[in-house]
Amino acid sequence: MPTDVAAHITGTVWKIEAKVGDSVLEGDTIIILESMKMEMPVEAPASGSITEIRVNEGSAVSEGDVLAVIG
Amino acid sequence: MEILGFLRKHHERFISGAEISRALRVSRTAVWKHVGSLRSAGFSIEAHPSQGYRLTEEPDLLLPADLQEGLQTRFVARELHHLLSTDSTNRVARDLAAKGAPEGTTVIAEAQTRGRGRLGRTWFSPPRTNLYASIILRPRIPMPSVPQLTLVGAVAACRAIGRVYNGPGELGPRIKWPNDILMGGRKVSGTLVEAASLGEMLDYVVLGIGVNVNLEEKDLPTELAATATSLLIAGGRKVSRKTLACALFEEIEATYERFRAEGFAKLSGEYAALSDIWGRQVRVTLSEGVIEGTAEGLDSDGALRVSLAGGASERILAGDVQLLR
Repeated sequence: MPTDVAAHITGTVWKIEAKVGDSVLEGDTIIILESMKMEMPVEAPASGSITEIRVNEGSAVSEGDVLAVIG
Repeated sequence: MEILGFLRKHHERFISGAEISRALRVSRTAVWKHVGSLRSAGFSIEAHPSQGYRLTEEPDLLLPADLQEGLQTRFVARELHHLLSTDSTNRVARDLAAKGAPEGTTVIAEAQTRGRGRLGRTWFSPPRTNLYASIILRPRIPMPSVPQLTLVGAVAACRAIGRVYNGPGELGPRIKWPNDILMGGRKVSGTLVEAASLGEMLDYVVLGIGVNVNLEEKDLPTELAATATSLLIAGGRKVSRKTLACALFEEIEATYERFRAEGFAKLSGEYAALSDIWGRQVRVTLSEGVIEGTAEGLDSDGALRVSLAGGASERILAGDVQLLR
């Protein structure tokens, strides 16, 4: 069952640390967000492989937005 | 450090290695080794073949025992790790936090070889001149509030710098949103805040602060000369790094405690009062482009409000602010 990787803060995407097809373990950093100059890693909520990345570096995101999907 | 205390107590005369080893119950080899490490840390210790050792000069170091003597905090810098040199105090603090170091644990370094600014930028970090500190915090707050800790750090740094600065008022410290401290329009302090989560919960935050203290104008790298400053350059005299470090740790604890108890909205007035960008023209570099407008105010969550020509207003959460005049 696919799992959404959601933003837990509002800010911008600073770095994308994984790409579609990568296999990741629960807790791996997928994306690093930035808000008010704080760097906040977004971790994989489950193990699996990345099937979708919906943002680019520099994208503005809101809390709750789906950033990536793990299949 | 006991050997240092002993040398300090008897600095007016030579004391033999045998005397030190008897008094402190350590081997003479240990005394000799320790004297060597003190010397490489910058202490001048005279050694005389028959009379022993004498401390003649101390470097300005931020030794934990000295620093904690006058420190008025409950938890910040109560566990204090002092390093002569490290790649980055934030990196060391993150490692300690990941191993479970308690809230308030602090790392200070005399020099950083890879001092980090935000977004991978570097922070010029020569030895024994400035202050580099990273503090571990473990607040139980909702995730969306976590970035506000950047603003908490800025209030604390600005207040601490204000406590030790005696120079002309127009060069006094001011916050530039969100986290830079400027003196006379040039940057004296910067913050790098990094967070780590455990699933949906915040695990810890490392609040890293660098302050240019006794850096001289001539020692600024050319590329920073127009944009950076130090307390010495702004105030015209040297500042004790120890006094500043204590002030910083006390202000961080006090500001953080208020933030935890009352939330950022209660602090926002104080934050705004420490900044002088209101009503001024700013250029903000966002990931999608550049906007220009008037810095209008701070939203209760800490976002910067910029009013654009034509009356629209923009809420900024991430972007680089440049003051135009």
